[in-house]
Amino acid sequence: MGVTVLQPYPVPENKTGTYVIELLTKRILALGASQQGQFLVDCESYLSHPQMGTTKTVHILHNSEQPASVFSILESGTKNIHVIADGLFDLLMMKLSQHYTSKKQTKIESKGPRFELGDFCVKLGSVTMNQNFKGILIEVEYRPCVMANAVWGLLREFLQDTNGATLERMECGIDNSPEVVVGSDVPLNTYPWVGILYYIGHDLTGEVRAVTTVVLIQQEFVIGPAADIGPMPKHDFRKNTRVILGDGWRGEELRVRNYVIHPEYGETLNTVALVQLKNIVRSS
Amino acid sequence: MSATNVAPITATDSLSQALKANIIPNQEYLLQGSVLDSAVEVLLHRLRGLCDNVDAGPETFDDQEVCFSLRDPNQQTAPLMLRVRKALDARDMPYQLRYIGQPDLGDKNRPTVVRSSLDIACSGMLIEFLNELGCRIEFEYSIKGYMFRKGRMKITVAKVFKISQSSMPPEPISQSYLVELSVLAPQGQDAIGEDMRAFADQLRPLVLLDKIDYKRLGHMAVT
Repeated sequence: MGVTVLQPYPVPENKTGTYVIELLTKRILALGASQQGQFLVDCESYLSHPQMGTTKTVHILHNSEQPASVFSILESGTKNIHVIADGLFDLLMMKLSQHYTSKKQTKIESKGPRFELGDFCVKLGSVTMNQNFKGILIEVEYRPCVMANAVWGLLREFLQDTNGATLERMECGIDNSPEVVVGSDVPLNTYPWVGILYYIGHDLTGEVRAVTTVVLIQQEFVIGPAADIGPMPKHDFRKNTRVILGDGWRGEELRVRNYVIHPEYGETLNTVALVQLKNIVRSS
Repeated sequence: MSATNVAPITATDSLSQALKANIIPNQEYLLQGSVLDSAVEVLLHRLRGLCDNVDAGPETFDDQEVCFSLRDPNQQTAPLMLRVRKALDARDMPYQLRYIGQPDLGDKNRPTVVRSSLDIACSGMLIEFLNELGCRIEFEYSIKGYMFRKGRMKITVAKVFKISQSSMPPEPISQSYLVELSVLAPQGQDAIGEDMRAFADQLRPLVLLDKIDYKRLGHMAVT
């Protein structure tokens, strides 16, 4: 087990998937890799019986790297729960056929050659859904290490060298000007990850407005003060709240998917609220 | 292309091959009985004499089991029962998820109860998984005792406890130990039933291992 990066690889127009796989194979063989068999990952999805209430989906995955295991993810609206089981789990899914039925037309497979190059293992997968070609996924694993942060640079370089692919990662978040004095002004665009969250709604007394500052901490999450976000009306928070980030201050209003106040707010010194954005923020 | 570069067999194919070759142990042959606390030492002594894994003293286990039911959405068949076991004395072991079908007692000539059974080792958030899947918790208990092996046969002598809500020591549900003799085997290996019967006879009269009909137990008056 190491650190793995999974990355879609674009298939140029008027080129086939097979062509791209061959090209990538040539490239990686030229670097000195050797082919070590083929791999296959498949995923079948099962939908719950309509009479069981809200639809839940059970995804059953197999990976030829772990041939005795079955990976299962249960998707139920808000939660994703995963379980790793031995091969007999497939038989249990057959027993559950009254409750969960397979959606055959969405069976997805990713298969192709598997290469080893020193400490790296590279898999070039052609992805098909119900036998129709959908795209190419490259999987690169660096096997001696399990700490993602420690090998990120290495993996990125490896991917660029071998496949010409680039890993997307937000490169902001490094404060280069620690000399900012509290209370003084800085140019608006200095900190692209700082922004505001505002709420504009209506109640019986008229328009209600509230605004607070937030900080982007990950591609789809901002944090803000629970003392400001907590009192904002809950019933239409998602509908009436927008986030604007300092990334250029283009005024792009980001919608909110969900938010949560720290469970210990009011009891301990934890006074933050976590807000999930509807879409992932791309750096520019 | 060399032989090592052939495409791997799909999981579905390997499963159907295993099913066709009938190598999946999905039948449980079972005999059950009980022994009073006061007599359990004698039985353990006898088992130590008869069984294989006794060199290092009897193997102990301490498990907690939660039984879930999943209702048939069409309300036509009995709910599906799923059991989750967790070893309390070996916390890093995976969960055991178990499906047990309806027991088939057969006629007088059949030596043991036969029921279909799937034993699946699982890790991850299995309890949450089953809850979200639509299962309901029916009951739970803990079971602590000894495990013996004789060839393919497994013999457990164990005490069943109620799960205590507080920090009180768990309360046993009776003054006796549950004794089970079981074998997991692929379909059609009925000869093992005879071996089990023969072994059970060697434990008489300390314990009477028999085919227990739960349906009949259910109708017995509880006083």
